[in-house]
Amino acid sequence: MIHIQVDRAARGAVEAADPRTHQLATLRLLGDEIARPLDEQQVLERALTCLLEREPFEAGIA
Amino acid sequence: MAGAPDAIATAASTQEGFPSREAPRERSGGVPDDAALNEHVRRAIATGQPELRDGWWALPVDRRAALAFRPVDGGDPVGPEFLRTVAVLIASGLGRAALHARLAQKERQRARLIGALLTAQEEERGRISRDLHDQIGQALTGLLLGLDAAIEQPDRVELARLKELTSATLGDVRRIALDLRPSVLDALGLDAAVRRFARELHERHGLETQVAIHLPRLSSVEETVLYRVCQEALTNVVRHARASSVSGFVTRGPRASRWSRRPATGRSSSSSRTTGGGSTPRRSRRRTR
Repeated sequence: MIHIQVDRAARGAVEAADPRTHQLATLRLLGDEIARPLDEQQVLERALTCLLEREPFEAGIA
Repeated sequence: MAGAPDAIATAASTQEGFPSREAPRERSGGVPDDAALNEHVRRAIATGQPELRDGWWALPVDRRAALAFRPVDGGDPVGPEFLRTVAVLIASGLGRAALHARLAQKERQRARLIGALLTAQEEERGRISRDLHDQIGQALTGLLLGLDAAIEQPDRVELARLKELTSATLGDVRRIALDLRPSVLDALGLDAAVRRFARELHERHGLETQVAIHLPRLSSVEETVLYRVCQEALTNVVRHARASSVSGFVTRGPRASRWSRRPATGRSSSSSRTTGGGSTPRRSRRRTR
């Protein structure tokens, strides 16, 4: 299991953009992140990290 | 992920449970207990849809993986449509990871096979080198010494012996060439090549051999493999079976290669054995068609 927690205050300013545009950018970034040769653990870990960094989540578990 | 903020930390990793029973320190704030979160995730997997419950999004990815996220209080809402797309992306990433794992396994298998092939090649080269040194080299040395003596003092008897030695050496060269690659295999096929090898065995060792090949012409690679199987089986009979005769056939089917032998002691073999002598291991390695 992978459990990631993020301190929102430490993230800095999130880019000011339309939420849908922001989500599309997140999806694109996520696709790039897990398109590399990875094992399953790495895929889940990178996905969690990417989503916690980009989207309004403060914790994630895979 | 490269460049992730310091505040993001991988907190725990275990093989069982969802989440970990050894609660990481980050779980102190608002993570539901194991049973509740597990039930939440199970429900989401059953429906195949993201579900928000007790402040956590459960996001099924595939039958083996699911994610859960806790949204920030007061943050922009994240809808199920976005999460479904995330799940599709992660599922494809997991699928790719599985393919990469299989590919890596195939690569390891290929490397092992190449290693075995190189080893076999080296062993074959060693055998040829020994044959050339021990047989051809020694015979030619004897021939050279005999010719030196004959030049000094010509002797018809000695010259006749040298001629015999030359003839025998030529036979050895032919045998080595035949062992390497019988030209008849390419020209006339497996049946003719095996018969010729059997004839050689009879001439050299007195082994009576009857071999029937019930096959059409196959590819060069297939005929070579089958020829080597037959060659190995017959050679093993000579080496290990102490037989006076051997008979066999090769055909298509589950028991496609069968050999029986008659002991040299004069006792008739009452039962035939599949690929007699010591050739069974080789037969198990190379499947005949």
